[in-house]
Order: sequence, then structure tokens, then C-alpha cells
Amino acid sequence: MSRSGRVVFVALLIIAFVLVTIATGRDKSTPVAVATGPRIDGGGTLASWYCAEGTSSPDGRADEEIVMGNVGAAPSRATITVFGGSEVAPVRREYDIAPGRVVRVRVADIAVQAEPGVLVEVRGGATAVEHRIQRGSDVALGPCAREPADQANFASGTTLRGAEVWLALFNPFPDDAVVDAAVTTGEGLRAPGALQGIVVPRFTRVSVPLHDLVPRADLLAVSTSVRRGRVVAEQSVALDGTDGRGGLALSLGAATAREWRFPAGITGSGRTERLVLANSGSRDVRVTVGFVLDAAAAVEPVAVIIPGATALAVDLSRVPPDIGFATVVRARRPIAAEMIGASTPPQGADVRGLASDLGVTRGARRWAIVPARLTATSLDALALVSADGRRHRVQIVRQVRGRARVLARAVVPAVGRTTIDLARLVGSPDVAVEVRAHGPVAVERVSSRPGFTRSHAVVHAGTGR
Amino acid sequence: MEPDLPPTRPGAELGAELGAELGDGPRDEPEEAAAAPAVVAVVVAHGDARHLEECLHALAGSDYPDLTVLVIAATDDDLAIRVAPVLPKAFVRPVTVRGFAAGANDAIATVAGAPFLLFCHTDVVPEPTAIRVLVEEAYRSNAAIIGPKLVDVARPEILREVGWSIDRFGVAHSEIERDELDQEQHDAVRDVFFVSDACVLIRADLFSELGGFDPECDPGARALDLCWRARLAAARVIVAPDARVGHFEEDGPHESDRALAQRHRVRALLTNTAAARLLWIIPMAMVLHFAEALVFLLRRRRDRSAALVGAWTGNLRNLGSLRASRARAQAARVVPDREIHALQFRGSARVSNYMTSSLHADAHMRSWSQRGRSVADSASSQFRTWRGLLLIGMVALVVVGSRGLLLDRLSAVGQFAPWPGVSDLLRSFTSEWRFAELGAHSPAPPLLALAALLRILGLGSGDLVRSLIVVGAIPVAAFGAARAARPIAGAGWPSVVAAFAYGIVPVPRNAIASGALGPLMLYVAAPFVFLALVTLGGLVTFRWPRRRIAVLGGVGVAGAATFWPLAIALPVVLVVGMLVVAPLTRDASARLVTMLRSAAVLSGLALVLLFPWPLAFLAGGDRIGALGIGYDPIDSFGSLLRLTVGPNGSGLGPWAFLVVGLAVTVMASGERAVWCLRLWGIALVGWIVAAVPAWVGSASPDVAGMLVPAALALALIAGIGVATFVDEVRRGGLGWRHVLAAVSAAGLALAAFTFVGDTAGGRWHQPSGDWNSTLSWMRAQRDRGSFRVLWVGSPGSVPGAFHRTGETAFALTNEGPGDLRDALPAPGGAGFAAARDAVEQLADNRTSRIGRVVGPMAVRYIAAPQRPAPGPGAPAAPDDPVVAALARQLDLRQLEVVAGMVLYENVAWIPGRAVVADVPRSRPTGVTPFDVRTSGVARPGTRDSVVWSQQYSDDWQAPSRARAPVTQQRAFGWANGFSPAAAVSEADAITFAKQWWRWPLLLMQLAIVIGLARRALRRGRRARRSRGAHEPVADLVTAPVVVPAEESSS
Repeated sequence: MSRSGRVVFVALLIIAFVLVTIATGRDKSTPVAVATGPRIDGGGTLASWYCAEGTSSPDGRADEEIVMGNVGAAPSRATITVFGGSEVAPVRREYDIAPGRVVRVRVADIAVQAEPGVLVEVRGGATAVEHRIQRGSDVALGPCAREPADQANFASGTTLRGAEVWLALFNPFPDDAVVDAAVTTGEGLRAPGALQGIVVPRFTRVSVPLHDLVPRADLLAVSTSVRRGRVVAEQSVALDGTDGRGGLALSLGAATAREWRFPAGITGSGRTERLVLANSGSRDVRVTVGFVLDAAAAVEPVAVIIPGATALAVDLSRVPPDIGFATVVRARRPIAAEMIGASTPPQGADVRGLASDLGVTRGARRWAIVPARLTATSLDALALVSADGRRHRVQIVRQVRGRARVLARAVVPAVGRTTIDLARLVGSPDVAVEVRAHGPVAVERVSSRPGFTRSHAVVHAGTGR
Repeated sequence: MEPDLPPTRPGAELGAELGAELGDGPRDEPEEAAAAPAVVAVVVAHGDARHLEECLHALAGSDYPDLTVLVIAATDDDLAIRVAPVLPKAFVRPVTVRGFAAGANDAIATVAGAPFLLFCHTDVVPEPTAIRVLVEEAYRSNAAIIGPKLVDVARPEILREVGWSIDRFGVAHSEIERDELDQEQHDAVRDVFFVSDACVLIRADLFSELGGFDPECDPGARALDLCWRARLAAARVIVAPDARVGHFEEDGPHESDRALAQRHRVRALLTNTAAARLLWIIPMAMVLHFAEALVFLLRRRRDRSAALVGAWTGNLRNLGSLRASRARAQAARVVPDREIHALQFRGSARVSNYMTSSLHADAHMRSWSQRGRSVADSASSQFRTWRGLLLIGMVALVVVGSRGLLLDRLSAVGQFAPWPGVSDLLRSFTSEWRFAELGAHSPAPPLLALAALLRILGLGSGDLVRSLIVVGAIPVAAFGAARAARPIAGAGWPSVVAAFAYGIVPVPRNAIASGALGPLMLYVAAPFVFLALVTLGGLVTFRWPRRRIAVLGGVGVAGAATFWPLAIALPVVLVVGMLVVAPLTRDASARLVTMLRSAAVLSGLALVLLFPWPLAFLAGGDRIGALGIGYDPIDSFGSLLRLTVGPNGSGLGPWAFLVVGLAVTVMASGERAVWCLRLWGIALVGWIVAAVPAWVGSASPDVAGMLVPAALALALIAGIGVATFVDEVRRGGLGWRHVLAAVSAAGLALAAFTFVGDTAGGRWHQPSGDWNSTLSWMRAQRDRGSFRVLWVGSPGSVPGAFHRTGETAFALTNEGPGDLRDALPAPGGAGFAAARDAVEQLADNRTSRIGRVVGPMAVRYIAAPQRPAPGPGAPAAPDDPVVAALARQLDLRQLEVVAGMVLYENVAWIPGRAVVADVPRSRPTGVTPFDVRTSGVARPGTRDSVVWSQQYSDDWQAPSRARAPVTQQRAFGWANGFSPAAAVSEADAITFAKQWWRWPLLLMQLAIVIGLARRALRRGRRARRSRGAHEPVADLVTAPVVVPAEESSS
């Protein structure tokens, strides 16, 4: 080969190398948004759900009921195991859950325990597990956990007079766990000695009375970190009606995040909302709180700076009353955010109460609503917002005799929110429905009568990406 | 004139006459002489007795006052004629028997009245004082058998013998070396095990009591046997070095005598050793004998090999005679064998004998010493040059960069798994059943045998051998590159620069960092395989015969494939690389066909050498994983071009190899340019093969190995560049080629700086710790039953050989964190499918009770490493799917380990052999969990089964108790179950029935290796013979295609 030929050969090599290097050097991977929190996995699953808070003894603080709803087309079988401690033999019961149906089981009907920890193992189908706790006429509903977490955050606590805040730590695993908890208030960080090195023995649920350990704190955000082992953390807040405030709220601990969505919100006519942001880190965090109104109006976002180790409540007074709204929180660094709603007079006595929700950090295309109705007479609604700033079509689907039946269709606007009245679509309280969207959306449910409760739905992770 | 003949008498008459001579009759000697005990020198003449006169003359000159000489004529010749002129007073007794022993024994009946007999060969020349000294020492030391110091007759300063010792197997060993100078270093009187019968003084009564020499031990072991029996009879055997006896250096023994001597030595061993000790002496002696026979066979010394084997078969044939001799010897025993044993030295005299006699080690040592001095002189002069300094510098930097590996230890990251003991390795290699992972009926990898051999050579230190292999890889590979470059680019600077460039490419450093032992070995073998390939393909010529080159090339490929099975394809990749540029190089199609055939030969030979291991890959299961394909592909083609896929070689330095390659291709001309194009073809094919997995989105082999062809090609191009510069560019006027040469030189310098930078840490960025050490406590957990460890994580984190399913890698190790026996697992079968299914359930979040799923696999621990080794580093990502999935599992107990790993203990673990109630036949899944009930003991009358956690095979057999029927069934879909459990004996092991099949396969493997080795060696000898005696043999390359002008002019 002549020298000129070799020069051409080398030139071609150089060009090829440059092109291929550039082409392969680009980062082709795009971050996949994965919904966090409880989720139903794909078929053929042995899925475990952990329900930490609630009691099953007559003198318990909150009677617990397990609610299992199958939104899939195949039947599922659930085994409920109630643990009463490492020294007590667990009690098991099995239940079949038909497609589209909901099965409710009072924990007290399985085992009477002062500190019950409930494990639900589901085989087959697509079953979500939530639990409902009741204290007097106050109820709270929320999903059970799907996995233990090294860190769990709560922001909705208050230990003013008449309030009880219980931190429930459940260890369903065969190894003991040690947990540290830190409390962030409006006045900074508090870490009482009693909250350090909390031992949670295997197969045991431990309840920590935060109201006794950190009294008289208007804002109380709790952050737990597991030193050893694995635990599931939940928090309940009970207000006894002192100062006109009463109700029961249930929160499942969540990891901190930079973005939070609260689709359901309304103020006015006895309804109040309080958005609490907790920064358990040591550095200040700049946060922007935006609002999406049902009406054709706009509200200026709120920008706040949360000092390190501080919790604060965002002023929502600029949101016009009696107009539904969704809230989007964006922070420079991961924080915890929780929305606490209260229904007080002039709202009717049967719809009064307290509801909290840690919000949605990531959107998903499929959500399980279990149960669709709290009771046969309850008021149940869904609030949906787009998670990616795009318009999405959604369907409300129910499994009937092995087929998916569309109960309703709606559109979630790119900016704005959509609400769906479940009471109009579903009559029975023993029905589970599913929200199917063409794009990632955030879904929150609000139920009242009796009481007032709110929680975000369970992600159906079969196509949750 | 008739000589004055000495008297020849029949026995009785001679006895009477000798008796009179020894004192029965009137004596004329003075008083002093009468006090001396009488000694009869028995000279046994057999054969031609060439030196009989010298011997008799010396005896005649002895100063011993009462010496009578008796010549036993065990020959047909009339010796009286020869004796009379020298020693008229000597008695000559013709005997009909033949041989020294039988002749000497005649003295028992012939000689009477003499307290001492001095047996002499006819080729000894005692000094005048020798006999007196021997007798004096006999009294002084109360010894029964006394030997003199034998020296050479012609050169009295040369020692021949000062007594012998033996080892436990009856093999004689002398402390003196061949042609050792007598400087009185052995002149102390001392006990020896036996002395030669060339000249030996023996107490006559003892000799008579022992029955004389054993003729069945003649030749070769008569003195040994006699002295051994004397020892048994509590007689003392010493050597008196002050008694000097000259000994003519005869020719070596005839081969037939040698064979007889071997047989007789074995006879002496079997005759004189106590029965209890024979139980272990015989097997060990046979092993040593047969090993030596094998060595001789390999060296084509069939006669000596046959002699060694015949030593045993001959004695077997003469069992009756042996039994009689043994009965006599043991009947005379008064000393226990342990005291005799204490007189024998430990170890094997055969090894030292082999070194000194069979291999002529002394001569060789001298030869090597001379060669070594020559090489050292040559190297010294060469290394004083800049080229030598460059190579020395590189090797020094390798040592500096590896100091942590040498002084500390090699971490067991990646495939650098620790090596178990030699016996464990050999047991695994010779086992028909592979106990890696869940077990498989599959041939064992030859790596186990190789590791055992290397460990033996490393005096048992596996860590030392591993470190030396890793550290020595770069220098050896650089040497190979120099050899490969010589016929292409020429000797001198071109080959030195090629070696330098190949030594500083980042590929081996990153292989060391990540524990990629297989790619590292491929890096070492590649230059040699390339050289063999181009030689066989006719592109270059070589002095060695083609057959030998083919065998050695095949050995190179097989050696690399032993560590990394994909290396078997190296010759094909090299040839395909040259094929793709054939239109540019205009290589003839016939040559290309030859190249292809050569590649097939090399790969084929490697397959044959590795036989039967390649058969394992024909079995079903994860063949891809067994081949080591499971790593994440490298997305960045730039990293491939830079030959950098790891922490070493950062910065711009590695780009230099590419720049040099491109520049030299333009700069070169003629045949060198053609070679550049061929090498570019190899590099391109190597890069493409390495990049394809990323392009098609599949798992990749270890990329370090895939980059070896490109690294070699670029290094050789660098060598060609130097040759071009030296021969062409330097002599021309300043021009663009000078610029390219300067750029190339600067590029190599830059790459060298990068190399120097990587030496800073002393470990080539290899972690200082490893999971094996962190989890070493697991090995102490076997008391509760055998167990396995399931490793799950990303492909870059799971150590050792792993499988891949989706994005998750997994591996199973036995009884702890694993060692070499768990490396290179068999592809698997139903067991592998069960393990893969379990990991998929975990990774897909389809179970919260993985412990129950893997419990029947005896998985007691599940380890999820987030990095290749413990130590500082980024913590596990919180959304690591495997870590999150493990955290959900309800039957795992989390254990605390160092950062970088999540470790769980499976509370649903079943030991490797366990009694299980209601064993399901199907594979457990996460959807249908079951409760496995285990019990420590089998309960009679139940459906309990013994579960043997090895992959199901009909050939597993459980020992039954009192011959109760035991039924085998498939347990958990893949394991072995034996029921009823009560019928299975707990005391005995479950055995694999087809173990016998392994031995013919091993023999076949051995035969293949021996056959190929002999073939290569034979051809080599013929070639040497045909070349003649004066042709140099050291030069490897005879006719380089490109001869540098500098050399050709010189």
C-alpha cells in the first residue's frame, strides 16, 4: 500500500474514532422517575406490607382495621400475621381477596394485643394494603408500608395541650433494631435521651409517646434513623378537641425529598390547611411553594428559607378560601413536608376531624384506591395533578368479573388539578378501584363522614415508571 | 620358563593349610607380629580382573604383620599364573560360582581361625597402613564392619567413598560430591549405614553368622544388605578414613546391571524392614519409584524407566526367595526397627541422587554457571546501554508500583480468589463431581491442578505464588513483546521499545486493580501466541520446528484459557484482524488460509490440552456466565481506544498509544508499513469485539481481556516506529517524518509518565482489603452444618466467578467467602436455574421470603457488596434495588459488617445435609412459600427425607442403615432427597458413584500432555541432530523478515 493510501487509511481511522467516541460518549441514560412509597409490584409476587400504628386491645389508643383491596384481575390470598413481641407467638389468618374487592379485618378479631404489629403477606393479584385506625368518632386511613426504611420523617406533629403524638416503630424481622430519633421544632433541634438508642426487638412494635418527651411544641417534626436492623415507622396525632381542635391523623414515614406534591387542599368555611416544612439538616434550605387553583386564578408562590434543624409552617393565607388547590413544594435540598388539614365548625360534626398527608414525591401512571369508599355513606374524592407538567388522560377502572371496567374518564391538565367524586362512581365500601393515567400523575384521596381523613394513594408499580 | 605358581587347592585342603598358616602350625614371625590378630584378605576375582596385579601388589606391601591373601577365582581364567609373580604366598581357590557375593561366601567354609576377613575387589589398591588401621579401629570402636576411605588411584586427592547412609526407602546416599577433593574433611571415624564391599574388613564370626552376602542382592545391594543385616544383629558399621584405599574408576554399570541393582535394592528394603513399617514404606517407595520412572520416560530413557518398574515386578516374581531371605534376616534381628529407622535420614535420597546422577546436575550446574556468567557478562554490557537502562527502569518501576502487593499481600478482589491447600486443590481436581456452586457432574478445570503445582513450587505459599504471578506478569509480557517484535521490527531498540510500550499500557494495571486474573494471563500469553501464529502462518521464519512452535503456541493459549476460557479465541481474533486488512496488505489468499489453519491448530491444541474441561461447556445452563461474560459493557469507545477501563492510566497519557500507532503507520514504508496495517487490523477487531456488547446492549466479558490484542498491536507498531526511525528517518533530511517521530516519542514519554504516576500507591489501585478477609469468620461456622454464601449485587462488586440475570450478578460459594475451587464454575443445570430464579425473584421484588427460597440450597448467608472490596468509598445508593429488596425480606437477619456490604443470615437455612419433613419435589417460589421443617435426627415411621444439597444426579448414593432400602428422589426440583431418612446411615458419607470415571479421564489428560510434550521434544532433538554440532541453539530467530540496516551492515 502506498504512503498516500496509508494517509487516507489513517485519516479515515481518525474520523471514525472521533465520530464513534463522540457518539458513545454521550450519556444516553435518562433518569427514570420511580414512584416512592408503598407500591404494588408486578404479578407473581409475594408482597409484604407492614402496618405499624394501631392497637387491638379494648383500652388501646386507636383501634386498627386492615383494609386489603385487589385492583388486579387475578384473585389474591393474604396472610395476616399479628406480632405481639418476640416472646409471644404470632397469630396468623388467611384471607382471599377477589379482583376488584376489598376485605377489611379488625386486628382485634385476630389477636388482642396492646402493641400489635401487623404483617400482611399477599400472594397473587394486585392487592394494596391500608389500615384504618379509629379513636372514638375520629378515623384516619393510610397505606401500610411496603419496606423498612433507614430514615423516616414526619412533619405534622404538635404537642400542645390536648395533643398526643405516638411514634410507632415496628420490627417484623428476625433481628433486633436500634433506632435514633430527633425532633425538630420551630425552636430548633431537640434530641432527648429517651429518643436515642431505642431498641426495637425482633417481631415487636414499640410505641414512643412523643407528647411526653417533647411537650408543648406547636410544630414537631420527627426524623428517625436506624442505627441497626430494620424498622417501619408510623406516626399518629390525636387531638382531643381542646381549643376546638379534634381529630386523628396517621402518617407513614417517608424519606426526605426535593419535591413534594399535595393535590388535595381547600381552606375556608371551617377548613384549614397547614403546610409544615422540616429541615433536619444543618444547612439552610431555600424552598419555593407553588399553588395550583381550581379557579382561573393564580397565586404568587411563596419562597421561604428554612434554617438548619428547624421546622416551620408556611403561610397559606394568600390562597383564596373555598377554592380547591394543589400545592407543589420545591426545595434546593431534601426536606420533609407534610400537609395537615383540619375540619372544624361550621363544618358538620360528622365531617370534622384532622387529616395529614406527607404528599407525593414522584408521579406514577397507576394508582390503587383502596377502598374506594370509606363507608357506604362517606364522602370520598380523588384529587389529581400532573407530575411532569403535561396534560394526561386518566381512567377510573374497577375489576368486574375478571375484566377492567372503566368507571370514569377525566383529563389532568398540565397546570391545574382534577377532582373525581368516588361516591358517584362506586356505591359499595368493599370495592377497590384503580387510577390509570397516560402519564405520571399524583393522586390524593380525601374522605369524610365519619370524620375527616386524607392520604395519597398506593402506587401500582406494574407500570409505575 | 614356568612361573613359580602359588598353590591351588580344594576347599578342605586349603582350609587346613590356611589354618596352619594362621597359627595352627609353627610360626616364624617375631613376638610383636604374633600379637596381631590374623586377617585373611579375600580377593574375589571375577570378570577380567584387570587390576588384580595392582591389588595383590598393594596387599603384598601391607605393613600388617599377620595377613594372608586368598584369591577366590570366580572366573574361568587361570588366575594362578597371574598371582604367582606378584604374591607367591597367596592362595588361589578356583570356584564354580559366579559373582562377588557367591565367591566371597566361599570364604566361610574355606577360612578358619582368622578373626577378621578383608574382602577386596580386584580393582582396589590399599595403602600399606590401611589394613592395620582398619583392624586397630575395629578394636578401638568395637565395630564389626569397618570400611576405609576410597580414593581415586590415578588422582589420590579425589574422594570416591567414605561410607554411605540410606533413606527410609533403602536408597543410598553419600555425603561426598562427585570428584570432591580430599581435604581431610571426612576424616573422622563415624558410624555409617553401610560401607562398600570394594574393600571392607568384617569380623569373621559375624560374617559366618549372617551367612555371608546374599547372592540374590548381587549386584547392586550386597553390601547394603549385609550391613543392614549386621545392623539388625546389633553390629556396628563404621568408616575409618585414616585407612586409605585406592579404587580404580571403572566405567558406569551396564544397563542390565543397573536394572538388577534397582531390583536388589528393593529386595534389600523388603528383606530388612520390619513388617509394620513396610505398610507405609512400600506405597511411598512405589510412588517415588514410579514418579522417577515417569520422569525417565519423559526424558526418553525407557531402559531406566523400565528398570525402576522392573525392580518391583522382579521381586514380585521371586516372592518365595524373598520370603526366605526375609525370614532369615528378621530371625537374626535383635534391634527394633525404630532404632534402625533413626539411623536413616529423612527425606528421599532418590531426589538428590536424581539431581546429582540422573540429571548430572553437577555438570549442568557448572554449565549453567558458565552460561550464567556469560549471560551476566553479556547482560551487564548490554544493560549499561540506554536500552538496558530503559528496561531496567521499567522493571524497577513495576517492582516499585507493586511493592504493596509484594510486601503486604494480594487482595482477593475479582478473580484473585485465595488458593486452598494443595491437597484440597488436588482433591477437587481429581473429583468427578464439581462441588462449586450447587454442584455438577462436570470435569474440573485444569486451573486447580496448575494452582496445586504452582503452590508446591512455591513451597506451599499460595499467597506468595499469587503475588509473584501478578507482579511478574508485566515483565514476562514485556519480554514476550520483545520476542514478538524481533522478527517484525528487528532486534535492539525496536524490540526494546515494543517491550517498553507493552509494559506500560494500562491494561495489565487495571486488570490487577480489578482482580481480572484471566485477562492478565491473556496479556502475558498474547505476545507468544502472536509469535507462534505468525510463524506458523509463514509471515516470519523461526529456528524451531513448526511442530514445536505449534505445541508451545497451543500451550500458551491453553495457559491463558485455564484462567479465562475466552482466551481460546485469541488466535482467531488475531487472524481475523489480519484478514480484515488483507485487501490493504495484499496478503496472498493461500497465506491467509494458512493463517486461519494455524489459528485453528493453536486453538484446537489448547482445547486438546485442556481436555476434558471443555466438555463442561457443552452441558446446559449458564454457558455465557461460565465463559465469564457478565460484566457491564463499556459505553465509552474513547475508554477502549485509550486502553483504559479502570483507575490506572488516567489523563491524556494513554491516548499516546493511539497517536503513536497512527503516526508510525504513515511514517513506515515497505514491509514495515504492511505490518503496521496488519497490526491495525488486529487492534480494530479487538476494539470492535470489546465495543459490541455496549452497542447491542448485552453483557460483556471482562473488557481488560478484550483490549489485549489492541494493546499488543499498538506496542508492536511502536517498535516498528523505532525501526523506521533508526533505519530510514534518521538518515534522511529533516522533514515531516521527523515531526511524526518526535510526536511519537513525546507520546510514549507521556504514557510513561502516566505509568510512573500509577506506581505511587504501590498496589496499582488495587484495594488493600478484600471481602474474603472480612468474612473469614464464616469458615468457623461449619459446626452447624455445611452451608453456602449467596453473593448478589452489581457485576463489578460480586467477587469471583458470577452469573448475571438482568442487572444483578450473583455467585454461590461453599463454606465461606470462597476460594479458587469456586472459580470457573460449571455451567450448571437445574440447580443453576433454581439459583437464578431465586435471585430474579429477589431482584424483581417478587418475594419477601427469599430465605425460604434459597434455604434448600444451604444458603446461610446472603452478601450484597456494593463495591469490590471493603474500605472507604461511596456508601451504597439508597435505592440500590438489591439492597432494598434484601431489606424487605422477612426471613433474613441482618449482620453487621464493615461499610460497603450488606450481609444477612438466612434464618430459614437448611444445612447441606439435613433431615427435612415433607420435602416438596418442585422448586420453591416466592409466590408459594412453604414451611420447611428440619430436625436433627430422622424419626422412624415418618416421611422425613435426607436432603443432600447437591444438584440432582442418579449417581449420588446414600449409605443405608442395616441394608434398609433407601429411595432417591428429586427434592425442591433440583436437589437430592433420600427417604426414609431413618434408613440412611448418619455416620457415613453420601457418595458419588461415578468417581471411577474420573481416573481414565485423568490418565487420558496426562497422556495428551505427555504425548504433546514428547512430540515437541522429539522433533526438536531430530532437528538439532540434523543441524550439526556447531550450530548455535540459543538464538530463537534466524531470519527476520525485516533486517535492520544497522544490523545487516554490521
